[in-house]
Formats: sequence, structure tokens, C-alpha cells
Amino acid sequence: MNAPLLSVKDLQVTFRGDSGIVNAVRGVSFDIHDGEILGVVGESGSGKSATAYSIMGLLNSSGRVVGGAVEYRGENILGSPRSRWDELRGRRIGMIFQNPMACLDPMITVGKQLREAAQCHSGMSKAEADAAALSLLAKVGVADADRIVRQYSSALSGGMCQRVMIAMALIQKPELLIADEPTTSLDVTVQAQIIQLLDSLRKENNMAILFITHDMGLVAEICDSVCVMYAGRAVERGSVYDVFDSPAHPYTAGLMKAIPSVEAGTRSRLVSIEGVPVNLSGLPGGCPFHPRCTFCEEKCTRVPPDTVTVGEGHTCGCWYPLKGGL
Amino acid sequence: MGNALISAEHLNKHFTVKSWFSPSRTVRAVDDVSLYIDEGETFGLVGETSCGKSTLGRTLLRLHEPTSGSIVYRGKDITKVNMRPYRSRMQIIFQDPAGSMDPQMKIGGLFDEVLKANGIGENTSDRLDISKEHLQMVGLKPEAVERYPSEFSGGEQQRISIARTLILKPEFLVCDEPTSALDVSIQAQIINLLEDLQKQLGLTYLFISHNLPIVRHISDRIGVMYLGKIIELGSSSEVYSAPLHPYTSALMASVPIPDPRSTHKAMTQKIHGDIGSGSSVPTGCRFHPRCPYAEERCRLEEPPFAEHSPGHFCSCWKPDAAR
Repeated sequence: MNAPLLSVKDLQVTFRGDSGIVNAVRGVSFDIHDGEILGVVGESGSGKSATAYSIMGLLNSSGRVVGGAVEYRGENILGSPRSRWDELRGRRIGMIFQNPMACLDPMITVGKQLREAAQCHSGMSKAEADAAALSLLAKVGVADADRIVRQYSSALSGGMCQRVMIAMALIQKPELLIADEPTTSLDVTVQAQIIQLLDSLRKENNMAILFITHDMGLVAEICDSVCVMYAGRAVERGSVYDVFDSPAHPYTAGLMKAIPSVEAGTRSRLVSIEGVPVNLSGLPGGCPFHPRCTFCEEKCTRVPPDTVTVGEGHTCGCWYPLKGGL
Repeated sequence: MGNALISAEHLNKHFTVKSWFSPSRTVRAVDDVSLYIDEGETFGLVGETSCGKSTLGRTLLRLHEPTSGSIVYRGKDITKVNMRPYRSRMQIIFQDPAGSMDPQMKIGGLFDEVLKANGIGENTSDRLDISKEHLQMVGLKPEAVERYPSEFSGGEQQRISIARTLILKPEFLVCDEPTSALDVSIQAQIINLLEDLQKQLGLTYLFISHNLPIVRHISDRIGVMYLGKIIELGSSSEVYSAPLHPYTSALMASVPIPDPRSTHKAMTQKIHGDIGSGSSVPTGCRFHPRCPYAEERCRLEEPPFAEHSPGHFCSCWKPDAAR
């Protein structure tokens, strides 16, 4: 395989909170190759967003990367000077967020914001930038782009704002797009349109996408590979086929069973994962999942598990990986 | 309708939006809705944001006064009556449980307040026992009465809010997106709890959610709402496996299937755009601007809400088009 586009190695992130230091990300590693869509799934507090923000150098003032490396085409970009970030962010790596309304300036027209994004560090003229904005809006499925560019974000629907934000992130043709729950606040019919759009853009530009979500359905739908996070660790990594066919970590298996299927006919009881989501400021010893795990053994309560290989390109952080799913 | 616990006839709820800068508009949040819910049944209400599903739920409880139409509860018209005797029998749980709890009060105090206001329990210790008993019913420890709402996770808070509604012994419970704010692994716990309580206590639910798989799982019958109207209604299995309305089929097709080998892809669906606003409902069929099968008639005339097979209703001129 070629050298990865982005390689996250043993990333560790802490946040300063009211009750002391919280270890939000505790040794996460993964690679993304050109044109690949990697899904990062996990529940609240799993560290998925903190991982994404670290890659972009966008952690807020209470967050700090305390270990590991983020290599972009072989170059460690963590701790780069501001000027290097300016070259990367927006131009090489784009990002879209869960709440598009909050990311657009309500006082500036959409067209002007797009023009700004296009001109930033690119030396494009006003006319070129406007033309690029219009053609990109059309590409992301905005039917009447001429009218939309003159509007303010408050006049647009959530789906339309998300399209504008995607256009803004893509206007300088980044090689990597980080999408942090891009469809969570949207309705399913609009979500389907956005997913379709991301998939076609990936094919056209050979763009890689780091797709952060909590929805296993979406992962199955567009991702090539998946990284399941729990309590700041990547508990399982592999291709979508391997992970969905034979989840090795009890948490991954539990997540899949907890989703009711639209196709299921009978009103069978849902299989839930017992207990409560992990609290990062009071992590249990040993494997962080052990209090909720049905397969927990004595060893799990004492020693944090190593990451083991369970198949080709399929790894799992569990002392007793499941064989052939549940 | 054999044992309808609650029913609505031609129910309307319109809101007038006033603005200094533009003429006031009328939003038809609930537009001529008729439905009944049998005793012990779970009726699911699905639809996209701003389709009026929450407003319908609240109007049924008369937390919003209906603009017109009637609501009948146990055979009695309650559209105009004093709701006081009905409040404890008809309850609602919300998406954000913490929003309905005073963060400064311990759980015990929150329960005590409700019990006192409704004259249940003779003295403080009696009320404390009732509170503890109900916390155990929802799978929490009785010691929880000594703690504050913020000490609990989202799933536990939802359990507490369910316990608090149950102490009034309701018959009818409107569940307004009760699992939407919860993590996937916790959602299943709450759904299972609601199902267990229904069996134990014979509760009747109106279950409102935009999460189609969950509604499919928990409901006996389902109504699909679009811009204030129920456009399809039928048994849960029929609405999901043989939808009549093009909007319902598009909605079903949009749900991603958690199987990478599935040949069905949500991406291949045909409808575009989004739901629009209740203040400018399109003429004719309200779905026609997004409908891939729309023709002249759909633009001009509103289709009737017709029964296509026993108990399966749909409001569409071309109900088989999407098949």
C-alpha cells in the first residue's frame, strides 16, 4: 500500500476541567489513504471530536496534545508554527462541523463568505473566486446558486447551510476533509442527499474523508474502514466488512445489536449495553469498558488490554476478542 | 375504533407569528388531523423537523389550546373542559429531561413537590417511600433521592423523569423524542424500559420521534406527518414494508442500513430539497414540490385521506407510484 495521507500515531490529548485534568484521548492511532473514507464512531466522551480537532490544531485553550504524532504526508504537523497551519488548514485539510448555522457569519452574505474562503492564500481575483463559488454551489446541489450567494445564513435551511459549509470547505480542493457529525442535525431525507454528495466528491477529487459519527448505519453506507472509539481509545479498527461481519470488541458488537433494524418484523426486545457511558474523570482501572462488558473476566478489571491483530488490517483492544461476532 | 382511549377529530392548531417588519403570518402547525389511539397501544408519530409532530402531541394534552376540532378522552369531549382532573392521567416526557428538573433540588424534593401538589401520600416519609418505590420501578437505586439531577447521566435523568410522571399513575403518556439526546447504547435501555412499563401498567403511548427504526420497533400503528398533516397512517409493519405515500417511501429509503453489504443505499433516493415552512404550505398536495411523481392535479387539488386497505390510510393522488 502507498504511504498514508494522514497518519495519527499514539495521540494523547488532555483537557483541563473543573475537577482536574481529563484524559480525553489516550493513545489513538490510525492511517487514512488518498480517496479513503475512514469512519470514527463512538459515543459522547469517546474522544472522537477531540481527535479531529487535534489534527486540525483547533483544540480550545483548555485542551492540549500531550503525546503522539499527526503526520501529514510524512511530516509531523503537531506543534507546527502558525504559518504552516495557515498553509494546511482550508487549503490541504478542510473541515465541516455538526452545526452549520453556527459556523457561518450571520452578518455577511453567503457569497462573500465563500469568496473569502476562496481568496484566502490563493491569490485568486474577486471575479475568479465568485465564479468558483457559484460552480461549487451548483455542484453541491444548490439549485439557484445566484440567489443563494446574496442571502444571509439565517434565511437558509439547515440542509442548505450544510451545503454552503461543504462548498466552503471544498473551495480550495483539499486532499483531506474532516467531517465532524456533518448530518447529525439534519433530517434523514437531507442527510441522504449530503451523504450522496460527499461520496461523489470523494470519487471526483480522490479526496480522503475522516468521517466522525455515532451512527453505525452511516458508517456502513459510505465508509471504507472504521475506527471505533471508547473512553479515548481506539478499541477496534478494520475495514467495514471485517468489523461489521465479525466485530471483535464486545463494545462494537453491542453497538450493532443496540440498533433496531427497519427491516426487522417482530417486536423483539432490543439488546442494550447495560450501565452508563464512561465518565472520563473517573475511569475504571483495567479495560475502561469492563464495568459494562458481559464477557468481563478478572484480568480485565486489572490490566488495560493491548491492541491485538485479529485479522488482516483488523485490530482490537480487548483481552478476549470475540470470534465470528456475537 | 373499539377501545379508543383518546381521539381527535379535525384537530387544528394554528400559530400567528407577529413581526414589526412584516405582515403577521399564520403557521398551520397541525392542520385538520383526525386520529384515535386505543388503550394499551403505542402510536408512533414520525416526520421531519417542523412537521408539527410535537405540536400535535401537546395539543392532544391541551398544553396548546386547539384552534378548532375536538379531542375525546375515554368517550368524553375534553376540548373545552377544565383539564385539572385529567392532568395526572395524561402526562408527557421530553427529549431533554434535565430541562424539566430544578438543578438546585434533590431528586427526593422534585418528587415530593409533585406528590404534594397532587395530594398523594399522608406525610413526608410516606411520600419518600412512594418516591423510592418509583425510582426502583425504572431501575434506579432508592438512594437516588439524596442526589442532584446533575449527578446523573442523560439516560438516568430520563429514567428519573419517567419515574416522576409515573407517580401520578398516568394512563396516557406522550413521549416526545425521549431517546434523541441519548447515546445509542443507552437508547435501547430506555426503549426497553418503556416497553416493560407498558406491559406492567397497561400504559398507552403516543411516541414521537424522527428516528424511524426506533418508531418501527416500538409502535403498533404509525402516522407519518408532513407540514402539519398526517399523510399516511397504518399498522407499523404495513407503513414500513408497503408504504403508499411517496414521502413515506422516501423517508424509509433515507434510513442508512447498518450493513456494508446491503444493496440498498440511502444515497439512491429520489427526493430533493427540504420540508419548507408551515407558514407557506404549497397548494394542492403539500408534498408536490419535492415529489418525483407530481403531476398537474397534485399541484391544484389536495388529495383526500383515503383508506386503501383496512386501517391503512394515505393522502396521495398516485399512491402506487413509488412502488
